[in-house]
Amino acid sequence: MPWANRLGHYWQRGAAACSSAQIAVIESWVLAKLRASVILPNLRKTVPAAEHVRKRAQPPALAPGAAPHSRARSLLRRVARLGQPYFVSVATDGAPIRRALHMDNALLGHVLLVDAAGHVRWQAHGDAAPGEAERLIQLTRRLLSEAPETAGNSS
Amino acid sequence: MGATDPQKAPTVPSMEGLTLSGETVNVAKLARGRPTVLLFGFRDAARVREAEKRVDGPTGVLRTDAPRAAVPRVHAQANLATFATPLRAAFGGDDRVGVYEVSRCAAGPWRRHAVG
Repeated sequence: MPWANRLGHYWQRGAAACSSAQIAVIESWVLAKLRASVILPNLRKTVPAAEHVRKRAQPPALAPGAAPHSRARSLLRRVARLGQPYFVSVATDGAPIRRALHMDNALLGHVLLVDAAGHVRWQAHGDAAPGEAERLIQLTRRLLSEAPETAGNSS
Repeated sequence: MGATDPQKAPTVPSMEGLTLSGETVNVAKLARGRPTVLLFGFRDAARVREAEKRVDGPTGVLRTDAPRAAVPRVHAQANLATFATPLRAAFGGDDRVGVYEVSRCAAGPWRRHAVG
């Protein structure tokens, strides 16, 4: 398998079990001009229409005992309605994004764990050090337990 | 980087984009409402090959004197795969966790082999 396709192997189209999406950042202004007229129409032909936007199988869970009209409930309902696009094409300069998220070395892979309110809670780069991937999973589980409360404080 | 104070932590910047169905969405807003793992791999294969000539492995230290064969390969996507494998094993099929792969590839993941 070509190295560039390794990650795609894990999160590829058809892996419906994964709640994942691909964000393609276009930095070249030439490609950005061609995005709507050439790139996206070609991708639409190769990707089944059902996978253009994948609706969530189930709405996000609320904390037990949450108020019936709480802000958290309202936010989660909006997120559930939005659905889950599989592919998003973003035409922008990547440098400000990298600066904002403290990703100084653009040559490495960066992993960010973001909580329900959009705050970066954990970050790593390069190959996973021993125990680092386990740490990511552990912190994600912790965020899952606090997600509804955090979401309620966000908007 | 370890767990941070949420109030002082940076937030995901606004990234407006187009879906395949033609809708305009903001990636930062998509990531709201549930824990989300963002996997950033900005450089495509051609750029990485160029960088291999002058970058010393994962430290990113410039090495203009190193012969290319002696320089470890730097592959952002391969870096991310070391996290993606256990992540998928732990949360595959779990809708409560979002996983977004952010790459610098205009035609999307299905054409990535063309630049690899």
